[in-house]
Amino acid sequence: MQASNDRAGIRAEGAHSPAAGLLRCRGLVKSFAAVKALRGVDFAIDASRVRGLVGENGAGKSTLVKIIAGVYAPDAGTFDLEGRPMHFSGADDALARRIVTVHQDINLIQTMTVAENLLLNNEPTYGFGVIRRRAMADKVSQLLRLYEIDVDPDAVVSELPNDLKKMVQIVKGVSLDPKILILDEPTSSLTESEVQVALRLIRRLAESGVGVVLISHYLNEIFAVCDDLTVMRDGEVVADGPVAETSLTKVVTAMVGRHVETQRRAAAPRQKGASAPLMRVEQLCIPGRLDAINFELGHGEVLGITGLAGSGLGELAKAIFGAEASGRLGGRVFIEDILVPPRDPAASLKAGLALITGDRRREGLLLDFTLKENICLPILSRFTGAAGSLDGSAMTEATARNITRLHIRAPGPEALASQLSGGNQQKVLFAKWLETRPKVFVMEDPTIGIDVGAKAEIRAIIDEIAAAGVGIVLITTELEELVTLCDRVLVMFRGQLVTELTGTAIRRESILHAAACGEELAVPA
Amino acid sequence: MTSVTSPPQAPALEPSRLTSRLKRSYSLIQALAVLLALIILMQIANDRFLSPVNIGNLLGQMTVMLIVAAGMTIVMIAGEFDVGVGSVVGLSAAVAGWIMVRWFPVPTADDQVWWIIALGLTVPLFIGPLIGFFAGLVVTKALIPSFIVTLGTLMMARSLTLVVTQGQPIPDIPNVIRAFGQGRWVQLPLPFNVGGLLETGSLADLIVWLPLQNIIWVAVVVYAAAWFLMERTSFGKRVYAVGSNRTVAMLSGIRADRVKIICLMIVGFTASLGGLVSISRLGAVSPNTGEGLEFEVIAAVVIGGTSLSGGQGRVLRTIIGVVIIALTRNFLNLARIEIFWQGFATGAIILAAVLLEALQRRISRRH
Repeated sequence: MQASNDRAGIRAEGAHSPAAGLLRCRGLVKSFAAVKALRGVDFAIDASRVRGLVGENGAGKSTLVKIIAGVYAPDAGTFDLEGRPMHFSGADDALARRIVTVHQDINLIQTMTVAENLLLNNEPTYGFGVIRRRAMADKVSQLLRLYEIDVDPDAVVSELPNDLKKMVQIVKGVSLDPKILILDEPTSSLTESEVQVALRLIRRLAESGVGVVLISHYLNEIFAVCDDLTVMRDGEVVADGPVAETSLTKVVTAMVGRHVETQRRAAAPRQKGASAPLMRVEQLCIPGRLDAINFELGHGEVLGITGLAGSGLGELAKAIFGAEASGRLGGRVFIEDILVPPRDPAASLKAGLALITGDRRREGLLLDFTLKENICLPILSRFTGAAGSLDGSAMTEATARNITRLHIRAPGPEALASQLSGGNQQKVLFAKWLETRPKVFVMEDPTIGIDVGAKAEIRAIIDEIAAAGVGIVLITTELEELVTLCDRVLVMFRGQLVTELTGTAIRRESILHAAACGEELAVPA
Repeated sequence: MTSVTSPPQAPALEPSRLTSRLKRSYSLIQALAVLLALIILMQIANDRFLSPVNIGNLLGQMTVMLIVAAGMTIVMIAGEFDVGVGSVVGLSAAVAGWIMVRWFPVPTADDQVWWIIALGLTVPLFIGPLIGFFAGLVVTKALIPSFIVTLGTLMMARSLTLVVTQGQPIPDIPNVIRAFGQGRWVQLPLPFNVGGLLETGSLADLIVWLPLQNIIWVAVVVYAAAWFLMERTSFGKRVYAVGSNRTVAMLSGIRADRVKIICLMIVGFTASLGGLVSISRLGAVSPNTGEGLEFEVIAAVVIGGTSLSGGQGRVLRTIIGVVIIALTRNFLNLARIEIFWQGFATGAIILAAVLLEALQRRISRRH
């Protein structure tokens, strides 16, 4: 387990002798359809060292890690494991060579005990599948002792707190005796104090000789625990070297890159006398997820809310709309000073709220249904005549009007939603909600998974909606969108709103810094 | 979360209208083909099968199943099941019988006063919706699968049936009721008698008069109403939406729980109506009226092309499913298959239908 300490500054991997590293990749290229996810990436993992891997969403981290774990085959590039060229035929193959990935989601079997989970499909047996119970118990307690995890091996996983679950999941990965351990966002579901335990565990693993890759958006964690750091942007490695030789500011700058300052939307003209806010959110909370969220939204304002995955951002939109599933939602939402009945999506709709979900295929559209049915779904009562019969031609007319207005490229109102491209499906979703004539639009990642042209069109639509006086809450992780569209940006960190940015303070660096560290960027740039 | 990189978008395919329409009506064509094959088989097995009298009788025999299947289609489109319908048919029939015969006993079946008969015809109609409401509350508020909940109502309703009837058949149902159920007041002219036309050369002989049992008209009204509800009203659209994707529906402001409860009440209503029809047809109540009906009905709905996972299906196509199930039973009788084997055959058909549906779903997902 010799540590390689011959690294000399940023982008120094060329100076390595191949024997020093456990795994080395050179010139990895991977494309999906027209999208180039990796454009010639060099990456190394060394024994006994923790390597941080950071980058914005879509920078290519996932793709890189999946190639190392054998899930994807690279289009081009070479791959050496302990000096020998390698070619993985699948995830099993990588696992057999002791490359283990601990995924971000907790994928333990909730109804089984810690011991059963740890040795799942790896149980010591007498043969014919008869489990050696004594040996199993010994092995489990040995593992738990080794990594100082204070948990009863016979406890059922579903009853454990999140941090212990995560630890069990990591130990499960470790029990496979990995040479290389890839940890994908291990701390995103943990609270501050739990994070410290996880980070100590990661250090212990490295000290025992494992080469660890740590993917995290939390830069302070990266700086606390990593030896080396690789920064990716747009499918390329933009910075690489020992953590000791770089700084938080440098890393943030590298992640963001030198972007052309995009044109900002003109600030909405404040309506004179309209001092009363359009919407007020008070003490919105979901225990363990959202912590007392308060904010106001003005007429025609585009309010951006952002944060890392796991910061509570994913729950926020549905919480505002009263559609949070766990039933533990608390807090109040007022529209024009009138309380919206809580936990009732139908009432929210009636009060003038509209929700564009980030998962349009599963939560936004009925894919097997026609455009007409999709668009008219929330407003069926408007087309209902005597005896409850529906006015089909009025529905068709409303749909056709929207197709023209939003430039939806579709054969017609009777086309199935599944026949449309992602961008056009998104426009259908907008049409569906515009027809309800909302006062407040809550949007979750409105341009996710659609092509550049459609993105621009969607942004134009958002601008137009805001200009008409509708308030918009834009919940997104896309910096580009926050910078170009928003009048004001709120940043979430571990369930709380920590920072408010307005006007020229809305910059990529400041947003990213606040989201990753939970505090404002100290140095004005 | 590392990154929310969008998966690579596959280029949107634009299948031609014709193929997409064909694909959509694939199950219909399939069901019609099976039906046609059965009819031909039965006509070969017994040349009186297609005689007007036999067809009229067959339709009368399948009326109860038809009525209940209409409700079952609606509840299955909403993504739920009701396996308790057989017992609800039994309980409704028993309560109707008890009111009309046992409440104020009269010397003969002709003597019952009109308002007791009226009461006997209306009270049972509330039983199914009430049980459906109760089951719906448990399903939506306690989040227990409707299959399990209605398994409970199945046993409870059957037990209540035995309590009401005291385990004895109730004969002597008032004659008015029996006269309606067993009467054939309307004959339907069908221009199918080609043999007759060729024989006499007169167009009048082309017409066959099909003597329809009156109860069939009840089924016709039920299907007309169900069709209108599902195809022409906003409630129908909501049912499809809830069954297809509960989250989308809820986020669209639809109260999904309410829709499901109403659907379970509708199927309960059709079961109660089925109970009344069975009394009227048989002129008596048996404590095991409707036993095993639930699975035949569900099978018929599935064969009619309604998706087991909800969101897809057409009320009128269920008729084809019911006819297929009823004809199969009739065929087994005609072919003198021992009665003990008939459940086996029906079960095999249900399995085949369900397997076929699963297979189709897998194929359509691949495209």
